[in-house]
Amino acid sequence: MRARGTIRGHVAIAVATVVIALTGCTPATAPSQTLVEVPADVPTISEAVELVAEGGLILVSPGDYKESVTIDKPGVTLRGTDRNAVVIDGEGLRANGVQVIADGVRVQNLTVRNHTFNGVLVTGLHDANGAQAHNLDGYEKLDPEEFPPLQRFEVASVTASNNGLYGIYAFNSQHGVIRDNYTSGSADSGFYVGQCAQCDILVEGNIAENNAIGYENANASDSVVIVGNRFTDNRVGLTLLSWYQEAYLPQKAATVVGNLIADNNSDASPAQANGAFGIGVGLSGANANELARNFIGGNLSTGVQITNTEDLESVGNRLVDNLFDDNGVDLADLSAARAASEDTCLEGDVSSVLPKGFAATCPAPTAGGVDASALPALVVPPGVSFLKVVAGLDQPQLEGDLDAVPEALPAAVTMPSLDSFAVPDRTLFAEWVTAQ
Amino acid sequence: MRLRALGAGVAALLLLAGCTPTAPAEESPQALTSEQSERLAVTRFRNFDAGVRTVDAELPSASGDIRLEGFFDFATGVGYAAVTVDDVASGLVWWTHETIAIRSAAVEGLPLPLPEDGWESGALDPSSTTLANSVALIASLGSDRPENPQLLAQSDAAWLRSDTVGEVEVDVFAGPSADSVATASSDLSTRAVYWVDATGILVRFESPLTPPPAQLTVDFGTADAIELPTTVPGAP
Repeated sequence: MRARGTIRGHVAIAVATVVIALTGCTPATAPSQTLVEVPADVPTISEAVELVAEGGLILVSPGDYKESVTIDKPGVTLRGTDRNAVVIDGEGLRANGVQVIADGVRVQNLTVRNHTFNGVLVTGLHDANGAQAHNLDGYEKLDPEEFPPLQRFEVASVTASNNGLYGIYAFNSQHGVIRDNYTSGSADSGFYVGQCAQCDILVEGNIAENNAIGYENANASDSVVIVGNRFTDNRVGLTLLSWYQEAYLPQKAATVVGNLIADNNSDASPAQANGAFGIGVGLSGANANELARNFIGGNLSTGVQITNTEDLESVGNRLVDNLFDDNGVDLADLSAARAASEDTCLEGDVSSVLPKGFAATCPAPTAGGVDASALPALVVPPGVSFLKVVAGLDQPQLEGDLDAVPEALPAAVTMPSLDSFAVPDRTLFAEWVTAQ
Repeated sequence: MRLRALGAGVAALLLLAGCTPTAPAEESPQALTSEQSERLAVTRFRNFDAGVRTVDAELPSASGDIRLEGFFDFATGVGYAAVTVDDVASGLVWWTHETIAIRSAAVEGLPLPLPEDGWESGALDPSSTTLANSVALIASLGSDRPENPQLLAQSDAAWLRSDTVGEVEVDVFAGPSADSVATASSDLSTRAVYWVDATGILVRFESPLTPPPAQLTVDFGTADAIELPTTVPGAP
């Protein structure tokens, strides 16, 4: 197992905390402090954002920070000195913990909890009213000309607990890394990557438990790589879907390899909005995705569900050498006849499929799915208030020299070799989760 | 697999409203601050989070002043209250989002478990009676997730004044009149009004009822952990 929590690309030189006096060329008001420490230099993180120079580091010491932080300055790194003791707490009142609306920002090694919407929101969609994403009733589909996607971000070794929508949420953003994070108690999903084409986003080494959904991927396409994660004990483990409320339809070409997607039957989580329960993977209007060498087991309803999003069928998804183990049904096609799935390709063993004979050949011929009533009948447990979901365990710290100001994030993400991810078993990150 | 249903945001605060003036003339409504919109956005979630809350509701009607004293469990969606009309014990009411059951025989207090007989139940139609309208409004004041504060801030929801209820300091808010951006001509008299404490807890709720001039006033309080039955004896 790969070590979790390493600062990527930091520079090895120590950074002087003294502000270098600049001469006439620079306006006197321009922030020039490359390292701002909270609370040593300023009492709040928001004040540190104002003070720090572009590309600088905000280093936060342990404490409860009852503020909503917006990072609107390019290249800034927000880093806690102790992942479990640096806490941005929304107290069940504030909407977002950290909102990133500038390019090249990192958020690392801290906890965000008790927000009514998101723990960390990275979004290229923002205006005078602040950061936005979807779920606004007045929301109109994104105009990419008006709101170009945010470029380059990293959210790493962040614990996002008990947030009312998403724990860690990247929307209308490209070239990002979501790594070694832990989410629990999200009323919608622990992780969400939404609305990007040619996303170039890596989702690696994360844990989601006791969320309504572990990881959700709506209209995020082409180069979303989801590897080596643990999505267990949610109500739904992982979804790849098309959604008409967002731009860039339909969803396509995500890569899902070497993940543990198991036991998504949590009765200690918030309810999923549509009552879904006991599902490992949901593909809805999803296209040309590759799911390989994942462990998909112990999901009481279904290991993998394929369905349509309104008139958008699921086409050309490949399921290759996944290990299905003790799901209610391993693979079920629930697509409506008007948008029947096409060209699903199944390689490797499954013990049960619906409808009978589905995906017996590769690619599978167009077929109508079964009705949901054909799935195992389950009693869906009532949802838990997201504020009352049990706290997770302390999580491992980001490794490396935490005082060092990192280099700028690269223009493109360095993706790992997929060959390095074998089928995991239930021990993957087992020491870091509460549900056993 | 779908995301949170759109339209559940501000629309959920658009409670049924009649046309009766209710607001004192001296109020000077102000647009919500971001803190206020965040607080108003969690009031219904706070009820869900609390689970059971005490309910003390008054609803003047043509047949007399109706009072409901009991509980609503916002986690399970069940209410149960003793009914008095002009201070005379008149029976019991039990309700969910879909069903209402009435037991007309006068009893002492609020018996638990429920009396075994005498219940008449049916579908809850908020437009049928003032009582049905009122209990449906009470049931609507819970939600398992917060609403969108940005959208509330852009609506015509308004801060009306500071107040105290008992010893609790509250802010009094008018809910939004419509699922749209603010307009200058909003009529405050047709809106639901929320008394909300510093943590987003709903302490008092007031709403015009249909038909006018009926008006519902509900005080909510902290309840001991009790379990309200999710079915009523004799109901189908």
